[in-house]
Amino acid sequence: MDISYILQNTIIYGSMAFVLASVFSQHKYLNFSVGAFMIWIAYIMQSIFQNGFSLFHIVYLGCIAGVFYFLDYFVYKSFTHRYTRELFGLIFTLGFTFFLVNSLFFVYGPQPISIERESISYFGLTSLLILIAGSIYFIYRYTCIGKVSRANHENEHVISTLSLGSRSIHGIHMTLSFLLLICVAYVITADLSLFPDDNVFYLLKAIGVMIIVGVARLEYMFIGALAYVCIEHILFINLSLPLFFKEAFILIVILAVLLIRPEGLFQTINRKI
Amino acid sequence: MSIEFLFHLSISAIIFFVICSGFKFFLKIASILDFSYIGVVIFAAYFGFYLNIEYGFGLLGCILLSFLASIPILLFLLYVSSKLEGVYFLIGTLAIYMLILKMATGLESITGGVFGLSIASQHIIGNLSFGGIQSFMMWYTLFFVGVSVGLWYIRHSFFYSVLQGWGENVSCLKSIGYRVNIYKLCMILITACLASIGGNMYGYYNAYIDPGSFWLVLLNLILIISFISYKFQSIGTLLCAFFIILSYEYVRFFKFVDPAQIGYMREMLFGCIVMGSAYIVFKYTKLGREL
Repeated sequence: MDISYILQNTIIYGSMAFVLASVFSQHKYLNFSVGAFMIWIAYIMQSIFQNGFSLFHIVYLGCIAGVFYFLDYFVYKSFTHRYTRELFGLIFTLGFTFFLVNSLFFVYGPQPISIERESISYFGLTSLLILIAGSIYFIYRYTCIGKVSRANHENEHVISTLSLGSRSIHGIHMTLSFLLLICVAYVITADLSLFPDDNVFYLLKAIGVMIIVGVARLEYMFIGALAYVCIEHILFINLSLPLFFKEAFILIVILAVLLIRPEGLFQTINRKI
Repeated sequence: MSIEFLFHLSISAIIFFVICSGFKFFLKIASILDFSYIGVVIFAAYFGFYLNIEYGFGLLGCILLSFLASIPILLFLLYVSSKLEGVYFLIGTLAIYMLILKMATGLESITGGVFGLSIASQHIIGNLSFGGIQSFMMWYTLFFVGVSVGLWYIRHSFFYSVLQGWGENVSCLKSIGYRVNIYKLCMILITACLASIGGNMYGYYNAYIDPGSFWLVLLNLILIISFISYKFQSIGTLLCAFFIILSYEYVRFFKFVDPAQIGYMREMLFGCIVMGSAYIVFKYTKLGREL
């Protein structure tokens, strides 16, 4: 078994699934542009490794964070009706993905880019995974932030009526999400090439892990990602199934889980979806 | 602007009118976005090409047979729609659309993979073939008239009133005693018919299809045309499609950008139009409420 493949992909899919589920559980829409943001940050990371870290990169990352926050804020504030926000959020972020991916092609060109730098060691990957997954598990299981966050997913109006700081919760979610996207970009630039169209590839896996685990169970995203990556490794590397089925496999898993247990495998409450 | 270019724009507008009419059907009745509809368009196009290459079927035969072949997908979609609502239905239909797209890329022996398929012969039925662009214009205008008349008839029928009631309140409809699943199935069959017509018209006119042409570019255009023409019926949708495709082609000739990058700039611009049109439609129209 290729341990670095498993660790790397667990970090990538688990983090992106967390970001997606975080936005969905708090603001009730699927942010289609998460993959595109991650690729955008990865291009900045590539520039940092090639040219060294500078004030320009800090400002640039700050601008990306600003766009990330603003996009979410705009979708949330535009519509109060949940169903309209769900629909609008997906389409708006889909349009933003078209814009962002093509702007990356416009700036960086159509060829994949890879940088020569040292791969992250097993120890580094394991430490990073334990640190991220452990922190998120601790925050969402044992702290007040996690409990309020889960309650906010159930009913945001009750939480804001009780003045339990739903805005702060949301701010914490967005900050954690952005930091995780930076981690994912760091991991991706280590061993993989960058290509703007890859955003959909990573996004699909993240949606799959989010659906498998269940939207409200943010603390289990990395466990779900680990399980999925192990199964993928067994099927496509050990058993050598055709590689094109890799993306088709996650789509079949998404449909199967949605139809059999739509609340997710880790969800404790049965809900009509 | 030459007459051939005008014909090309008109034919493309008619193709997108047919495709977007089906996409808007769900949207207008129940404010549901059904991405699997685009999957059926792709399936119909590929199936039509397969029939043309292997068995020499013409456009009309391909439309009919691809509609019949897409029935299993429709039945699956009916099952999905009974189990899922809201964003989960969106994710489910998005997964169906992308699964069909991945199959089109992966099943190289049938679909040609990333290299796509070229049509064997562009003919309508039997020995009646498309002579040139004027012939395409004539036949596709007939398709436009047929689809417009069909949609007008459906919109003014009792069946459509029941569908509007379904979009408004399903429980109320069930209480009255209507068999909602039958009406839903009929609606899905109508949209599949439009998808089969649109997909085969698209493939036959271009004489070539590949998975790349059905991904972002087509999705972009379908979303923009559907949203901008949301309030319009047949002629309005056709005119919207015409002007959007005209803009799409016109941007190609912008001089202040490197020609190799024109395509990316065009997609950036149309990405912004998707965002803007979605905001306006959702904010200022009663989306999905035609009552």
